[in-house]
Amino acid sequence: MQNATCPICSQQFGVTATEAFPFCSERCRKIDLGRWLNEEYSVPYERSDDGTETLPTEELS
Amino acid sequence: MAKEKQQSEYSADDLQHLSDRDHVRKRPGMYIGDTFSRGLHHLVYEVVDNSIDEAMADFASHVTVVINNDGSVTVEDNGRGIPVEEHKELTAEMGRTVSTLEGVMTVLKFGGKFEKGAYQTSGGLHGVGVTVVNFLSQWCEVEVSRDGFVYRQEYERGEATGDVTKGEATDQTGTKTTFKPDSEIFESTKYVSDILVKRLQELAFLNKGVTIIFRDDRSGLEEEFCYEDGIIEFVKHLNRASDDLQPDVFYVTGEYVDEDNADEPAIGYELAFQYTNEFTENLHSYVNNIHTIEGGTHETGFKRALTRILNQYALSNNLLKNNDNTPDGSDFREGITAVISVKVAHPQFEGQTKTKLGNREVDTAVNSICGDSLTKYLDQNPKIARIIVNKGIIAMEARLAARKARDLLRKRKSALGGNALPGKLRDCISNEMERCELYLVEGDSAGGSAEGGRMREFQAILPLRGKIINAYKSREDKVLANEEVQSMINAIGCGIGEEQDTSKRRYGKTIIMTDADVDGSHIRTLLLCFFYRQMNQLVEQGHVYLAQPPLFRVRQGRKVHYVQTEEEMKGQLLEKGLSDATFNPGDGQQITGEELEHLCRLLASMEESIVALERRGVNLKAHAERMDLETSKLPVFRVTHESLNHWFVKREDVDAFVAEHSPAPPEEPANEKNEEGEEAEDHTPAAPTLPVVQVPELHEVRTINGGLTDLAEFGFDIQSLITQERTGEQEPRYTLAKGDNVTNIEDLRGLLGAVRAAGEKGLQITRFKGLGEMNAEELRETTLDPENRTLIKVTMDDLGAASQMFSILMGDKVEPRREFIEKHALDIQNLDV
Repeated sequence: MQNATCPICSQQFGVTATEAFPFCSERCRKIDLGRWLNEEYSVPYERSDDGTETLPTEELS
Repeated sequence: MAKEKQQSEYSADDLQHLSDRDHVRKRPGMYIGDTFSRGLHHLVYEVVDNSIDEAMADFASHVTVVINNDGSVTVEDNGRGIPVEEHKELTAEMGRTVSTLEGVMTVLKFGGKFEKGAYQTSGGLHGVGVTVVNFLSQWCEVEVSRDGFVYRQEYERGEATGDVTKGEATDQTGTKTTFKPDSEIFESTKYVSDILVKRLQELAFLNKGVTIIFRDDRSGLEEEFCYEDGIIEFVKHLNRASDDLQPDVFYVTGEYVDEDNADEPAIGYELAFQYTNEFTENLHSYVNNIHTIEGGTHETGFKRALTRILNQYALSNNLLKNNDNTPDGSDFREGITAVISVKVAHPQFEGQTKTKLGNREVDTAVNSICGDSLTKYLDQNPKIARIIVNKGIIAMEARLAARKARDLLRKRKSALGGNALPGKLRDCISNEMERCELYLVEGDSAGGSAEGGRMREFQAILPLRGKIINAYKSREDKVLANEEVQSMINAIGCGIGEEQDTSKRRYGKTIIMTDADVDGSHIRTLLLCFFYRQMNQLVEQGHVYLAQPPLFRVRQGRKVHYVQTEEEMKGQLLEKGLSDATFNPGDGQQITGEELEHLCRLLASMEESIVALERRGVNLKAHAERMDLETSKLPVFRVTHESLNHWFVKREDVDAFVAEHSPAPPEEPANEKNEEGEEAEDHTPAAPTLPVVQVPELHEVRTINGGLTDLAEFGFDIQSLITQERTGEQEPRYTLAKGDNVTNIEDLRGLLGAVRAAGEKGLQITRFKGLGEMNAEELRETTLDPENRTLIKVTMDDLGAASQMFSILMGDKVEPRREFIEKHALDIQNLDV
């Protein structure tokens, strides 16, 4: 059986042993949903006006 | 009934006594709960309790319980034995000679008339004593070993059939009671050994050190229980199938005396708990060995203390994310296994089954004791404290999340006859699900272009706006606002979590469209993570796609075309620049056509490696001087010895050097030389511990070496890659000619750029910084129109990598996240999720 690590509780679980994949349990999936709704998941924000996020165009010439 | 007959056999003096017996037999439920299994087994416990009392007072060490072949039960201990001599008061009361033994067996509440020790187990249902057992038995026999002899007395339905008789001599002491429950009273008189075993084991846990032996002569089953560590072992036993979060069991015991009411009898307490990774609460409480199934004041005292102290700890150690939500008692009791045992002089039992302790003073006592010792325990075991508190916080999170999920669902369903579609959704006209498409578009301006450019018939647009928050002092983060998550769930319509039903989705394809920059790729990651975790079926069944908006617009005269990636753009420029171009290496030779293309591709592959080498701080010019003249190879190994760098081309040479300079046998620890000794440890690193430090192989140099071999075929050596020193001489080394244009090139590394620049002539290249920079028509032509667009289907194939990427990108650990982003920022779009 293939094992995976639950993103919430970090426990190892068999992927076929749960209906709640990619979580170990429905409970952990609920916690995850709660975190989405609480706006706890974020990614770094890169301002597009300072140009840091784009490849320098000089590289083309 | 038997009443009349028996009354006639006894004198009037016995009236009171008779009415006791009759009362018990008439209303057995008042004394033993019921006349079913519970009451039947309770008879055994009543007799065993007396033996346990002897054991706890240190007069007995063993209690044996036997179910005999005929269904009668024998309980035997090696205590002092019930006194058998004449009891004066009773004799006077009855008007005939009555022994203490007979009093114990036939007079209700007689036990209370002689000392039973500090913890008298009486009250309510329980502790009614062996008298009741006798009253409810068809027959009963007591054998007392005491003062060198064995004494016996027999009873029928609670009446002594004769006086106490003195039997054979013995050097033992103890009491042995055998009784056969009366089938006139009980529904069934068949004992179940599992029930008895369970209770006897419980008693052995609760009374540490006492040996309890059980035997069922009907089946031959035999068990022996003895626990030196008492309820600590009880907790371990209960947790035997679970994973502990605490290595040891918390334990506290003692006697509590209320200082303001010193006259009140002391309350004995014993408490043990251990956390496991389970989610349930496993609380067992006892009062005077009686299992209080309905709980009561001893439990509330413990619970209040636990909640109070753990919250205090969480607060003072800053373990709570925000103070708006604190774990409640039930959160902190998830996964706890606890045993509470108290000894109370006058317990008041309440509740349906009279198994709930009512004494207020016990609450105060347990709360105060438990609070003090728990505080100490947490301070002494900070690691465990953290684990326990975090478990409570997770439990709280789960509880709040479940509530939020419920609210979310209710909100969806309460809307007028079905889904409440989000106001921001620009829905399509068709309702043929398979044909319809939902574009999730990040950014307002992009949403505008998309709305204008979409094919209204079957394309819907849901603009999502990331919300910028200040996550840490030094950086900003983007989150998907709560409303956005809800809009998305409602628009897609297939539900989330365990309630997913992809057949109910409103669109055949859900397409994520974000800017082709780093911010866009982060948002895409966020959205994909959401789908992966909460709408995994949608992804599994292949209904989620990524749109591929172009990165460049290329205008040549009146013709316009779009290019999607950096790579592609570079490739196109190279191709165009190469046609009709001539490279003059300076010696009259000319390189053109396929040969020039070959050279350019070779230089492109070397360029990456040279940049990688320079990033290590190794300058190409300096490195060229280290070239091994014999083989014309650059050194691949760098060994640092006594702060000098040594360079090697071959592995063997490295090994030889290292062997020669291998570290001398370790010196005496430096701190011994330090006479002061005080801060010696902090200063030891001053001495070089490793004389030879080997830097990992410089792999990129292998690529450069390979490239140099190929370059030699064109007649170039390494010098051709190194910028010419400005010697005042203005003569260019190389030139590139294309039509009338001639470009001077200082070194070969500049050739690639020169060719691309030549290719760019006559082109007007625009790089889109975001979807919003495209107008509606452009967006439609390149990204929306099924005729021209490229969609990438999101699959679950690369789940391991994707999942890891999500957790790093969203993780709390700042360092790995920053590292990861720097490494992958530019090629995240290549990661096929």
